[in-house]
Amino acid sequence: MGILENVLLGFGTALTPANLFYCLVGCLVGTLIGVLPGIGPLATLSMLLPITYKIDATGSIIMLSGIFYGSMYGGSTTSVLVNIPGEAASVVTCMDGYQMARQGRAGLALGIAAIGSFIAGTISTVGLNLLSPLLVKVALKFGPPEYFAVMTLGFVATMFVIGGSRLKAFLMLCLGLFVSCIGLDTVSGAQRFTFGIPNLMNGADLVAVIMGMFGVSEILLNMEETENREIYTTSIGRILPNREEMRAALMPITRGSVLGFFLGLLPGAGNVTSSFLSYGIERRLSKHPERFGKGAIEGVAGPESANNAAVAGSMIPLLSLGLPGAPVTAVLMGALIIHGVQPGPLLLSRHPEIFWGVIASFYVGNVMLLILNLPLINIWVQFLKIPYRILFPLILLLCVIGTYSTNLNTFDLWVMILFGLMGYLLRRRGYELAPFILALVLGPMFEQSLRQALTLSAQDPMIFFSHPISATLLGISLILIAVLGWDAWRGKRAE
Amino acid sequence: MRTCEQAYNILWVFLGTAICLLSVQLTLWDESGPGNGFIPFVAGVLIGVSGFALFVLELPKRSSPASRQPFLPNRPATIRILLVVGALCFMAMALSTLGFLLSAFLATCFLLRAIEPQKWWVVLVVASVSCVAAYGLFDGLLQVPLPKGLLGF
Repeated sequence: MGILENVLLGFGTALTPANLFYCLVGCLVGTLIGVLPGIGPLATLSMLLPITYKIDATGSIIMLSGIFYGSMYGGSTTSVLVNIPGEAASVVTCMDGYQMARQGRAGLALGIAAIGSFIAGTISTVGLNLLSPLLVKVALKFGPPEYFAVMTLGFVATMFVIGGSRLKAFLMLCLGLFVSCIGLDTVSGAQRFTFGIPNLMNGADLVAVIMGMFGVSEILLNMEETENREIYTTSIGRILPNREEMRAALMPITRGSVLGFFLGLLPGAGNVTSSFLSYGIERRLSKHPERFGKGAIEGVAGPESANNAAVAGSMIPLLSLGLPGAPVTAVLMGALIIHGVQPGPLLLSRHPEIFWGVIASFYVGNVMLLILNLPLINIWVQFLKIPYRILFPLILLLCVIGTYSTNLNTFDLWVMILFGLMGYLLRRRGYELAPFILALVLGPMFEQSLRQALTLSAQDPMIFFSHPISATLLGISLILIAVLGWDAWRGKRAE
Repeated sequence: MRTCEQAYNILWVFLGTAICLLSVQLTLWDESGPGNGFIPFVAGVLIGVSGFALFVLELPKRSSPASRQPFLPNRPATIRILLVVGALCFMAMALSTLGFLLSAFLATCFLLRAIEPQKWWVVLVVASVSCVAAYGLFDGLLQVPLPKGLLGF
C-alpha cells in the first residue's frame, strides 16, 4: 500500500463515530488531568485501563493516546495560572507562563501554548507517518541480539537524560530489573522470589506498581503540605496572539516541534527533557535572554511545542519496535497486549487499521484539542478551584478501582500500597522513578533477548558485535557510558 | 539528616547482598548460557555496588540537597500520610467482606473528615456521590465486576 492509501485507511478508522467519540473522551479527560495538579497522565492511564476492557483495541489505544497528549495541553493551564505544573513536562512553562499571567497576559500564554501544541502535534504526526513504516522495515531484521542492544541503549539513554543523581537513577534501574524478575521464569518455568505466595507467580502487577509509585506516592507527597494555591483571578485577557507575537513564537514552535519529535524517539528521553532543552535553546538563541523568566512568549511557545511533539515521537518505537521508551507508552503497550495485539514490526502487517488508525487519530485529536482548548480555557480554570482536600479521596478511589479491576484480587491493592510507600520515600530522597518503571517493563524482554542470543551463539558474547545493527547500537551505548563517566569525573574534580 | 541518607545507602548494600544470596540459589549459568538467576544476580550486585558508591561519595559532603531532607516530614504531615495509608489498608482488607460500595464510602468519609475536616453534609454528599458514580460507571456501565460484600452490594 502507498502512503496515500495508508493515510486513507487511517482516517477511515479514526473518523468512525465510535473512534471519534473515544478520541474526544480521551482529549477531554487528558486535558482535565493535565489541568488538575496531583494526578499525572501515567496514573490516569493506569486507572482508566479497566474502561478500555469493553472497547476494541483501536478505540482503546485512541482514547488512551488522547489522554496522553491531552494532558500535555492541559498541563500548561495550571503552570500559567497557578504556577503549579499539572504534569512534569509543564514545569518549564511555569517560568515565563506565570509571569505572563501576572502581567495580565494569561490568555495569551494559554493561547500560544495551545497553538504551539497544535502545530507541534501536527508536525510530529507527519513525522510519525513517514518514519514508522521505515523503522518497521528495519525492525523486521531484528533478532535477539538487536533487541538486547536497543534495550541496552534505552537504559543508557535514560541515564544520560535523567535529572538529579545518575547513580541513584542507575540504582533505580537495577531495582526495576530485579522486580521484573519476580514470578515464573518464562524459559525454565521455575519460581523466582515468590516466597511461596501464589499471587506473585505472575510477578508484581504493572498497573499496581505504577498506581502505587506514581498515584499513591503523589498523594502522600501532597499530604506534606496543606493546600496553598494562588489562582490568578484577574482577567484572562485576549487569547489569540497578534501578528508580532506570532512572529516571535513561530521559530521557537518550529524548533521545539523538531527537537521534541526526535527526543521522543529516544527511549527514556521523552517530553520532560524536550521541554527543558527547548527552553535552554530558545534562551541561548534569543537576542534578549534577560527577558526569559520575566514573561517571554518564546519561553512558553518552545517548551509547550516540544513536549507535545515528543508524545508523537514516543509512539514510534512503541508501534514499530514494540519497545516502550517511557512509562506512559509502557501502559499503552499493556493496553494493546490486554486486547491481544502485540505491538512491534508485525503490527503494521497484521493490524494495519490499528497502526494507521492511531496515527490518524493524532491529527484528529490535535484539531479537537485546539477547538476545545481555546474557548474552554475559562471552564478548565473553574476545575482548578476544586479543593485538593475534596479531590484526593476521589483520586485514591480511582487508584483502588484501577488496581483491583486488572486481576480482580485484593492482593494487588497491597502491592499498590507497598510501592506507594516505597515511591514516596524514594521521591523524598531525590530518586527518579522513571528508570525503575522502564526497567520493570523492559526487564523481561531484556532478559529473554540476552538468554536467547547467548543460546543461539553457544554462549559466545561476540554475537552482539558480529551483527551490524546490534554492534552499532552497543557502540553508541558505550560512547554514552564514556561521556557519562567523563561528566562524573569532571564534576568530582570541580568539587 | 545525613545519617538518614547514609542509612538508605547502607540499606541498598544489604538489599543488593540479599538479592545476590537469593539468586545464587537459582541457576546462574548452565550449558545453554545464562540461567534464571543470572539477571537478578547482576541486578543485586549493581544495587549493592551503587549503594556502596553512594555511601562513599556522601562521606566527604557536609550537606547535599538530598541529605538536608529529614527521613519523615513534620508531625502533622506524618499523621496525614499515615491516615491516608491507613484508609488504603482498610480498603484492601474490607473490600472482599464489606464490598466496594460500603468500604469505599467509609474510607472516603474517613479521609474527608480526618485530613482537613469538612462539614458532615459535605462529607456525606461527596462520599455518596463519588462512590455511587464510580460504582455505576465501572460496575454498571463498563461491567468491571467490583466486589459485593456480605450485605449483597
